[in-house]
Amino acid sequence: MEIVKKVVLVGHFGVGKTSLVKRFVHQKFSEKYLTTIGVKIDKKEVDIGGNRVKLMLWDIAGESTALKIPQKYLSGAHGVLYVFDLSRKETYEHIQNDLFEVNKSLDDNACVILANKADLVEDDFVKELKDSLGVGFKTTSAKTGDNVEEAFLELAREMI
Amino acid sequence: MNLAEFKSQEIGKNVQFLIFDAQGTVLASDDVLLKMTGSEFNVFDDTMFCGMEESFAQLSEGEELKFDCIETNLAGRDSHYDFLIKRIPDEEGTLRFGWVIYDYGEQYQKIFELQQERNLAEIQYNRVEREALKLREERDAIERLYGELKEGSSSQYILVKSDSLLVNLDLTEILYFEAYGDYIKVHTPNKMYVTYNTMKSVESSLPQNQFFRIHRSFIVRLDKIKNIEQLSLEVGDKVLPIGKSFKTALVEKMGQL
Repeated sequence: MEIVKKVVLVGHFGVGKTSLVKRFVHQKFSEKYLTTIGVKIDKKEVDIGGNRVKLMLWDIAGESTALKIPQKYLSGAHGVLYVFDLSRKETYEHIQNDLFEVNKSLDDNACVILANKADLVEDDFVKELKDSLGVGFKTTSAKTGDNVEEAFLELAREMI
Repeated sequence: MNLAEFKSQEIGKNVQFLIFDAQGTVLASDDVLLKMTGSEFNVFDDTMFCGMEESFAQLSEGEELKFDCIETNLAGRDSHYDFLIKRIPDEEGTLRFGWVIYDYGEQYQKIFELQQERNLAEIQYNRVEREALKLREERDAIERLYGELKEGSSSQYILVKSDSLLVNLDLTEILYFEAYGDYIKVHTPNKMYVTYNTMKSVESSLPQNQFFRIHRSFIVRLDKIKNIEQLSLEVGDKVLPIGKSFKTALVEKMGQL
């Protein structure tokens, strides 16, 4: 039986949402930054406990605040990947407010927070940030591929 | 409504019109952009609308859904599209879906270029701001450390050469320093020492919260000042002149203590 789930990726621009999708779907990475306008849609099928799950990935153009995300893109989503960039403070300093805004539109659906670009920071910094940020997150690196597959699969498991 | 009637509502380039049923099967298409007639293309299998059958079915007659600036692959063609879905009845009155596909790849490319430029500029601006903040913090830390070191290293003793002896003089014993040609006189309550030095060098080596230069020829220990008059002050049993240019700063300094 095939299960279809809509996943939205949100977060500031330049945090690596598109690169995460590219790594997950196509196993590729490019250093070149290409901004996303509107929404970029991709899909990938995964196997979760014997269930065929088709993930429709809505990579939404990054904004400086979640308030600017068009609600129609979030509508009908079953899960969220909120992505921030570990090397840019401005992408996570208002994370609590952003998550609040996103969750208002998503009826408490599954949400996984990804701290991307882990290859650019030290482990000690990540530990300190985990203590200070007040939200749990999973570190990823679209560049090296670390934790990327696991992050998408974790969300898929939470959604079914 | 048939395809011709549906099409007559919209005119434009790079636009495709098609009609599909509740299962996503294409019933009619003008194939302007994508060859869908006779293909196995299914709206709910191969597009962003995958899994949205139920929400489409809830549309009432004439109701529309709009999606703009969607970058996706549609029937093998990558582009930026705008979509409009409208619930329409066919000739027999059965509700179908009309779908207008606008291929705005070229137009959105211009928006992309502007947005790319804006985002890169903002990322760069934030990076510069972050580095400037880091530099400011480092500078403040260095200044703080320098101040602490200066206080710590010079707050206790000063070496003065008296006759042929080097005397380690406790700063708290000193009343004032006095310029004496190429020498400095160091006055304490019980003794006066003469050492080869300059006022500038002595002044820079003393803790700023304990000593103050009141005249080009005098540096006094602040807690030894008994009283201050218009242009003089009393230290120990001596009355020393206050330079006009030093007066204001001295009063401010005393006020801070």
